[in-house]
Amino acid sequence: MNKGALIFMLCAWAVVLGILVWSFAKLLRLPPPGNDHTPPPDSGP
Amino acid sequence: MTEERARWGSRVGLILAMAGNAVGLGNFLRFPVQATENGGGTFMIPYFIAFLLLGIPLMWIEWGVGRHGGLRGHGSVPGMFQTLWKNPVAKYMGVLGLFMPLVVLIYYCYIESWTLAWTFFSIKGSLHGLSEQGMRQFLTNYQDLQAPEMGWWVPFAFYFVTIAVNFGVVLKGLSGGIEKLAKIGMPILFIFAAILVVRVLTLHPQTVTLANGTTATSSPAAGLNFMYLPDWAKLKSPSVWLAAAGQIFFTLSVGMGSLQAYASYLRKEDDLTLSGIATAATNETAEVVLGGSLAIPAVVAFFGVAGAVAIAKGGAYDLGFVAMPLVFNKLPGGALIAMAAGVMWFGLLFFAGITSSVSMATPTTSFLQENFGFTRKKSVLAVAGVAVAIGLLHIFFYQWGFLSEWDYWAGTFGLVILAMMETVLFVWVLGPNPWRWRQVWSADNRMWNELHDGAAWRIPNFYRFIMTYITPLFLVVMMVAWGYKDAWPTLMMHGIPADEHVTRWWSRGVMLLILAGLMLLTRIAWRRREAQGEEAA
Repeated sequence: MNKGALIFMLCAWAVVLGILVWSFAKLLRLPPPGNDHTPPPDSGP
Repeated sequence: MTEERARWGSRVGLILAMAGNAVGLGNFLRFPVQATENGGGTFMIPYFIAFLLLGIPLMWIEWGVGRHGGLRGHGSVPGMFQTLWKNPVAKYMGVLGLFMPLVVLIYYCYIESWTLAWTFFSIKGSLHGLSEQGMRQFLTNYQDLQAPEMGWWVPFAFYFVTIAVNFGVVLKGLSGGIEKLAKIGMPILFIFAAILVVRVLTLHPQTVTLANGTTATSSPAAGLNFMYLPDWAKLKSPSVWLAAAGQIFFTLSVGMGSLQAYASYLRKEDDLTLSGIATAATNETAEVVLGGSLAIPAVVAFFGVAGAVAIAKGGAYDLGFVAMPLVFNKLPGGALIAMAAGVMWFGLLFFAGITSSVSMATPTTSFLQENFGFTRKKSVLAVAGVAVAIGLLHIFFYQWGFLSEWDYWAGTFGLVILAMMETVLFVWVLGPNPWRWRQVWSADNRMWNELHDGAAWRIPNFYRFIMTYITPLFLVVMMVAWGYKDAWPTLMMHGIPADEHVTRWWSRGVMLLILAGLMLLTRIAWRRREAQGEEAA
């Protein structure tokens, strides 16, 4: 497989799988529904 | 009308149901076709940009619109729009959010029934040993109801089974039916797809016959090269950007009305930001990692790049129902492997389809329950009755383009219109005045604050800018470009054989009748609300 194509493919997969794993890991660590887990509001830049 | 609304049973169930809604036939059929037609690697760059600037923001907007309406007792878009904008016109604009899921549901179930039928034919061995010509004829015979070897009634039988399964799931309710289906169907889909990807990517190089009669060696790696090697010169082509943005739209099921219906069952304290992005990531994994490593590498391995491009030009059905079974017939291992691969391919398409179609039934059933006091059973039976009655027209008149008209006007063009309207209402009407820069960044930005009610993760602040300016701009460009490039020629039936014109006009007439009927129902519903002393919204 072409090296450029391989790097592009691995980057694309890393982005997609990275977001997937990060979001699910964070979601599964949340307390059960009903608990207040709202982070403090920000006030913009 | 204001009784306690159903709730999702678990967070994972909700995300799987939302992802099931998004993951559909498009991930495994439309995506490879679009990528192949638009230069493979060249397509992937605008595709990822559109995902970040259009797909993810729209996903959050739809979850936000849905929860905003759901907390005020509305499970479908007319009521959701009315709660966002008090003008009486808002609910009629929202009728598109009832019309499109219903119309798409009706024809989608028919296509979904093909996947069920092809799973059966794979088991029966009907596809084994067929040539390319034979495989295409098999599909055409089925679509034209002229298949003496299997009986004219077979397409009807598979259609009725598909409808029964779909509405059976919806009848079981949110957590007992839809959530359970997602928890079973999504893992099966991912497992089947992963097995097929491993089998395809481990294929040895094949000798392929090219169009000029010479032979060459091709392999799955050649397919991946095609998918991921950009041709930078082609990146200047607006049509590639438009195709990529369009694919992001379809794949995430935004602009339909069904994500909002699911999100309407969320509570104020439920997370929306992280769940939204988890849903989008699940869909993209199915599409890019699995869908992108399946059909194109497989077809390129056995037909070469030029052959794959030619197959893609024949459309998604040619790829899914003709080319892929041919690939399975060529797999080492004989009839048994061809059967197993066929069952997994069409099985995964069926699960991808059904987890989407049950979501399309939700807005109209919720609408009938909430506004006309229907029980769940009565509303499901009413929608199923309409779907079957009109769906039969698709079976009878498929060969004359009846379905293509619906697919374009409701399943393609209409999505951008609804997405545009909901973005304006949620981001500009509920949220800040887009002309006042400071309001966009203010702590009082209501759109931003609503998205963060119960949030487990704060969306990066630059998305305030993207959602307020870039996403609407992207949508306007898409709407204008499609209007100019596709909608007018499609309306005037340029390039359509003359013998299809009458059926296609009838098809449009039926769509308009459905739209008018839903407008009328919405009018009656709000009159009832007003008569019962509820808010005019």
